[in-house]
Amino acid sequence: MSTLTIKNLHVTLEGKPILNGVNLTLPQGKTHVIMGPNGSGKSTLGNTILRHPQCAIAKGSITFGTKKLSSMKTDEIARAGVLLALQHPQAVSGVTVTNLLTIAMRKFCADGVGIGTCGRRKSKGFKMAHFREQIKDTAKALHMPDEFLSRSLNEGFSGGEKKKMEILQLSLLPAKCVIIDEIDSGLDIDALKLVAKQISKLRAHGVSIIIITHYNRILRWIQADKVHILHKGRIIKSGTDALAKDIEKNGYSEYIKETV
Amino acid sequence: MQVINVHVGADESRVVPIVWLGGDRHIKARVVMNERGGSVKVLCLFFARKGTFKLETEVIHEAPDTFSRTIVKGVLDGNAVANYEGLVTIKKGAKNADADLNERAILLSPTARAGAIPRLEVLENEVKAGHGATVGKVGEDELFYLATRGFARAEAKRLIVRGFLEAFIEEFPAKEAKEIRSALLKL
Repeated sequence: MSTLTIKNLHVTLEGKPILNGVNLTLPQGKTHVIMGPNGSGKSTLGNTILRHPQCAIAKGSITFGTKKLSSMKTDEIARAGVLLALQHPQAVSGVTVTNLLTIAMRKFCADGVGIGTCGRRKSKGFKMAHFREQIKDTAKALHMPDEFLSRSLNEGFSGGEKKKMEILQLSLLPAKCVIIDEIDSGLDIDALKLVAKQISKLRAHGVSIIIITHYNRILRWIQADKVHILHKGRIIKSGTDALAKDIEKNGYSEYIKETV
Repeated sequence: MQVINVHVGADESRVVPIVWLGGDRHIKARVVMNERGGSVKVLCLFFARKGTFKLETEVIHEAPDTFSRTIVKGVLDGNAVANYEGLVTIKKGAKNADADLNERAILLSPTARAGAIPRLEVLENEVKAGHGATVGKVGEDELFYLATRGFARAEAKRLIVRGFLEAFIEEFPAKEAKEIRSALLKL
């Protein structure tokens, strides 16, 4: 059980201050939603948790259980079970998702990330064939044709296909905490439902979840424990999903006014 | 200097495979398409740690409905140097010619160097023609993406380079593809 704790986080991006003192506590297994107008720092927050090289931490700390993420490298953070679904996933020529996941899985197991498939596998030996079946099943659950598993990752994929591919990877790697950055942009309503279903599955497995979004649409299918509004690099309001509904109806202006 | 001369006949499809895996070499390839419906792919793959490579390619469209792709892709490490000059000429009368020339080189070390001079000479109006060249390091965005999946920098670079070459090897004829793969294993 690991709690994600963000304390007084100040971050600059290319010298410009973007986050100005973010505090957030996400207990294991909880789902928090971060909303906010364009440019409020939502993506920067997600990228900073994974230590994107351009997001410089000026002050504050990020911890996950006993691990101090703010002084770790991105790949170490991922192997500690903290994963990010990117808003703009990259294409990797000549590498299929099956390729990527099987190599990644070996690394996770070598590091002894002890939940989900990996923990069971450790005692029984390496069952790559079983993992390949799981990849196929997850693709099917997301209504992705098999050919997506054998094509170059994200190369020539539509926006929606890329987003599904992100959720596929997060569903299969041994995640303890996932940050999902604007998964709902570029997805039609049917695709969004399938993606939300996968996210709910993660929640049911005790994975902590941060959903970064503009819209409360996705909350129709995912139960959120808390909703935060980020504005000018600070969390200015926290509440239940009633807050998300209110934002959908009335916009951000009322909340933003309070901070002026 | 090694010279490769290719003539593409009417409705004929040809592949011209070129591979450089190190050492000093100078290759000049010249393809003439003076019969209707000819099609050619000039493919060059390079992967080297040392040595100097000079490559010149020239594709000449003289007849109508001719098609060409010139694709040069490679990875340079250590102090390897690759210089490429690519020319595509579409002569008057080669209506509906379709030509493209592209180079992409990835540099893995600060002392590796790649130069590219792509040129198009188009003397006919009703044609499709394009060219481009990029020389650079492995992209930081790609490295971050793979890091978020648990890959350390060096591992991510290896995966990207292997994928970049692998995707291109698939376009080579079986004999050359096999040759490249076994050479890459030894490197």
